[in-house]
Amino acid sequence: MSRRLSVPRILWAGLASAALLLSGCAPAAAPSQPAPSAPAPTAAPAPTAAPAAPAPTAAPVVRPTATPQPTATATPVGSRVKKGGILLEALWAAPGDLDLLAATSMISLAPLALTYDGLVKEDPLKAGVIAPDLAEKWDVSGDGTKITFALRKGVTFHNGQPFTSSDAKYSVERWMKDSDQLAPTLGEVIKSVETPDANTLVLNLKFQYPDLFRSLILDWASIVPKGQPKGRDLKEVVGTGAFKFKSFESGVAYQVVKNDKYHNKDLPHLDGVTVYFLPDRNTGLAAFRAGRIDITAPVYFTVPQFKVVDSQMKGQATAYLYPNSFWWNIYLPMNKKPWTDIRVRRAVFMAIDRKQAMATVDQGLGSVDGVMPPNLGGYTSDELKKVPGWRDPKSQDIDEAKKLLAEAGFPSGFKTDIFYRTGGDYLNMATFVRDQLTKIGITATLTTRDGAAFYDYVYARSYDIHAHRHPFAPASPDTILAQYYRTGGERNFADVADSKLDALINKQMGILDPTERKKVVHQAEQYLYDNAEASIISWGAYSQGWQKWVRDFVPGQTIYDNLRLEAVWLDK
Amino acid sequence: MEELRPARPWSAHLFSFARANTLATGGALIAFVMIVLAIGAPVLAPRDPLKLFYGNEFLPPSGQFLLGTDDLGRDILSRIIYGARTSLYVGILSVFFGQVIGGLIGMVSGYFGGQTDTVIQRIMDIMMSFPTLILALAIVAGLGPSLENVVAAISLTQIPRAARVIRSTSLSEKESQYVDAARSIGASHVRILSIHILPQCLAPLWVLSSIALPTAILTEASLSFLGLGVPPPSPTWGGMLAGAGREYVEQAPWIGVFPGVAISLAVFGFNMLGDGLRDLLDPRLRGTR
Amino acid sequence: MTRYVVSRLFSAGLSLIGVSIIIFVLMQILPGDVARTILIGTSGEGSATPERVAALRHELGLDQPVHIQYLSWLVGLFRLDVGRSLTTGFPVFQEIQNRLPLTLELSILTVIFGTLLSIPMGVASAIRQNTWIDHLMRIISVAGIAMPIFWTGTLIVLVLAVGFHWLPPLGYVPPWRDPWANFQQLIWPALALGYYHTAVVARMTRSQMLEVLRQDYVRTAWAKGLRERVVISRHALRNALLPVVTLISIQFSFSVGGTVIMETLFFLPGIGKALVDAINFKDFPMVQTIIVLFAALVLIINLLTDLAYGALDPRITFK
Repeated sequence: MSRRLSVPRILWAGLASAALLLSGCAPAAAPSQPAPSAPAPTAAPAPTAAPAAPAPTAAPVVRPTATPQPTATATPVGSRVKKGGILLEALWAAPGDLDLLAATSMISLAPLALTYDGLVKEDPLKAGVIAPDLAEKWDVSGDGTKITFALRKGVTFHNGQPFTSSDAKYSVERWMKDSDQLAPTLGEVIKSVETPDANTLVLNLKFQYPDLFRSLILDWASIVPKGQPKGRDLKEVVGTGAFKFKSFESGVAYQVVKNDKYHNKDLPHLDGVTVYFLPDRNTGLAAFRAGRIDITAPVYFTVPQFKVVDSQMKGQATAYLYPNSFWWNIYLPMNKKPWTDIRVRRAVFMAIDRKQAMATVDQGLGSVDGVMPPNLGGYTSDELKKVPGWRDPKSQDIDEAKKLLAEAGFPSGFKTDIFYRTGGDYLNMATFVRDQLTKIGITATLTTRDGAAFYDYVYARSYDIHAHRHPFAPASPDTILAQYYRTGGERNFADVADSKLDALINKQMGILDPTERKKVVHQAEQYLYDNAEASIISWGAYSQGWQKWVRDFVPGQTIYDNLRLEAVWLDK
Repeated sequence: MEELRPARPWSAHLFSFARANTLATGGALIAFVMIVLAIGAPVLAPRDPLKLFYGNEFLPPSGQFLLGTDDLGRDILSRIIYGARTSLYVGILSVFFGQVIGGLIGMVSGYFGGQTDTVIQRIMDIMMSFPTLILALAIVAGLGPSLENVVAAISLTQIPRAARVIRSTSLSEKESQYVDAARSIGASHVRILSIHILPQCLAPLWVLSSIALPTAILTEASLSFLGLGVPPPSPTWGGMLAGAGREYVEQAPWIGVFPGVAISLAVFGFNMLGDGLRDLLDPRLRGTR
Repeated sequence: MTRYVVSRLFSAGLSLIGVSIIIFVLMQILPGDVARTILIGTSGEGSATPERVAALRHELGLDQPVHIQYLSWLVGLFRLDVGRSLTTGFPVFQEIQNRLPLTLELSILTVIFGTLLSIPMGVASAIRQNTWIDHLMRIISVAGIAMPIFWTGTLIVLVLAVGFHWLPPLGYVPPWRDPWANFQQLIWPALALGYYHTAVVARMTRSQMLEVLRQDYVRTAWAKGLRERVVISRHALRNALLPVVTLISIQFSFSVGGTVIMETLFFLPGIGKALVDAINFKDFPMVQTIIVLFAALVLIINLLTDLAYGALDPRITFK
């Protein structure tokens, strides 16, 4: 008898509606004119499947016209907003420096996002809806490659400096170059940034890109003053956001206070936010249960902790799951023996029981999806049932794997090594994979590195097998396909270098029509499975918890949105 | 004529010794059990310690899994038994190398004296001014965690103390009459060292080893706790405590409690064994136990 | 006497240089490239191009020859400026300054608990040898030596959190800002460590007392009809305590390693934890400086112990 928590129905309903919203919110940069039959962005021979007729496809989408500003009274709870109070947030480590634009992890994003605005944002009260922020209106031109933003006037930074388009230009250019999450897409898509006047910003794209706004609403896309120092050199946090920097004590807490001169006169409701650094998650959970923490940063709770909050704090607090917010991969460097032989790769891929992976390593919380989650155009679980690696009963996969190994010259298996990053969760997956491989006769040792040595090992591809987990913000299929599977992709840890695959990936990048795009994405996915170039094991869900007196906090579509907390208030 | 009393069988001596020193005997028994477990692990462990029993995660102790299962569904009893193997193997090996090498250094240093002695003692002092755990940490971190490196690190931390003690034995022995005599007939240094000095160092070495073994076991557990011990998938007691033991201390306390008990019992047992040995070899201390 | 102190300080200095060389060499052979780690971030997924790595290495002075790096560090030690931590960017000495109070406080609290509890325990055990007091004390001390400190710490956490639903104040508070909050935070790791100390020192105290109690001069004191308290305190204790003083100083240096474990277990931002983190990130200005600092502390404590020894025992003179 194992301890399984049945996730309550309300949660499933929430997840289902979130999924619906996500699938609904496809291309955000839908042009205000009919979809043209413009050629695809790369040398793909076939033109995009955009209809020649001017009628735009029925994209049930978020048209990026100006939406009204969220007003303070639009609270779904139905009671009046109470002003004041300091929100106490839990985070597991302190940021290494104060530069959000060069940061790579939630430990920087959660505290630093509080003091900035973006060009656009996700409506803090309605997940998935794009709302204006420092850009009041925007306009997409003819062929979808020129986007003109009308910037808000009269906004000042926290140090009194006025906000102009040159600050916006500087920020966008930094996003394109330095931002870990944004540079891979924005850097590839944006050709140039222009500032015709102090209140106008123009983005010239290399090709029409359906997911541009999806990237721009991430809190990573923060506007900073022009010429701000970078990395360690940045000594103070200056933004235009609802909160102003107050103090940062490494090892203790990061504090911000209300910005009285915020461009939205009704916000923020809180007097300030204090982000505590609580590396001991047991302490964090205890503090949360005792009511001494109001909200955790996303990712803070582990799976068992989420279950505890979910089951033992009903009515007192909400435990929320971000669906498909991380994924487990297994990388087999394709130019290393024995992975050069497609049969061996296939055997290893097939041998892993993905349902069991989720059950054991993530304790049942997560989803068994393919290379891409269904809401981004990936296979549904029904479609996956036919793919080797997901077949049920598992014995099919195991038997075929053994046969393949025998054919490839390893009738009694072979020895290999699994590399993982030092840390409990990573070790658990590596242990699981090791156990799974014994079923087809492969015995593996385990190797680990931490810190500096870990990155060295990864970049030198010193591993035989690397099992790893990546956080994922489902902005677009590119976030996966281009970075992990395209030749030379930043995170192509299996060194996949397949020009046919690259063609498919590039093709889907420029397709605006979601149905057509999905077709190509499917092709790419199937190609990955057929050629044993996929790395996916299973998907997991990061969680977040907040007390019942924290009002008007609506979790974003991804863990990286809606961390600015400007519309949150405390009902105390 | 007086009747000669029959001699008491040696077992009777043993029992009365045992009754007089309960703590020591208890400890020695525990140590013995640990050794048996370590040697006989493949036979004595009910299950494969590395195997994941899917669907059986987080089971409390029961008839089926005597000490319960951990977060991945592995049998804790088997892991503890194999953990004994690791701890004892590392402990005994590092004590062996540490004491032997340290002893040799000390013996030579004390015997030859002069510049060599000063230099060697200076180096030993430097090594001793490192807190033990930190020295072991730095070495394992530098070389990478593996069984061999952990043994090397712990051995290195033991060398200075052994060298110190044996050096003083060697110093006093070299003034003895036997050595004088041997030197006068022209015996070589090697001969003197091996025949006259070395045997005198053995008893202190035994005593030192008995003190060093429980410390070595503790150091290995500490290194595993900090993540720098013998690497997975081998089960180690410190590692079991550090990971799932700590994380699930509220929901599944048995995951962490049993390894902790195991470490404590092992250290206690070998400490008592060592105490007993010291009493036997160093009769001056007997009265003060 | 002064000459003794000076010569001890001098040899301590030599030892420290030796320590620093050993550690410097060890850090050089550690695998891993600090520049790459910084660019990538502590838990992130970033990318580090070869050009950026090379630029950062130059900026951090990592491309200079090894002996130059070592010498500039050594010189910096004397000027109390060894450059910046390679992971946080703040000056090493500032980091140490921020964290040293916690570690020192923890060590001192530990030794205080250890001594306050252990000496009476050991003495009581000795003067009531083989009674139930003796047995109880011996069991307590044997358990204390055997239980690993991280387990004792875990048990304490378990009892407090589960049994008493008690929580320490969030975020470390230094003692001068709020002594009560600070005490609440540090008492538990200090107790866990202190328990171990208690055990060791109590045992030593007991055996020392037993030996002393058998001495002739003590028997004379009894024969003279002096009361027990006078015999113990004036005659026996002083002599019994000499090796115990040495032991306490050894414990101090052990507690330095012990704080590494305690700070890791209780997530306290002290020097011990900083050291473990710095080792993992190959932040060698931090590692070198911290270890030399530890070694210096140990050497100074040894010197002070020897001096105390001399003060307690008039027979000892210093050459």
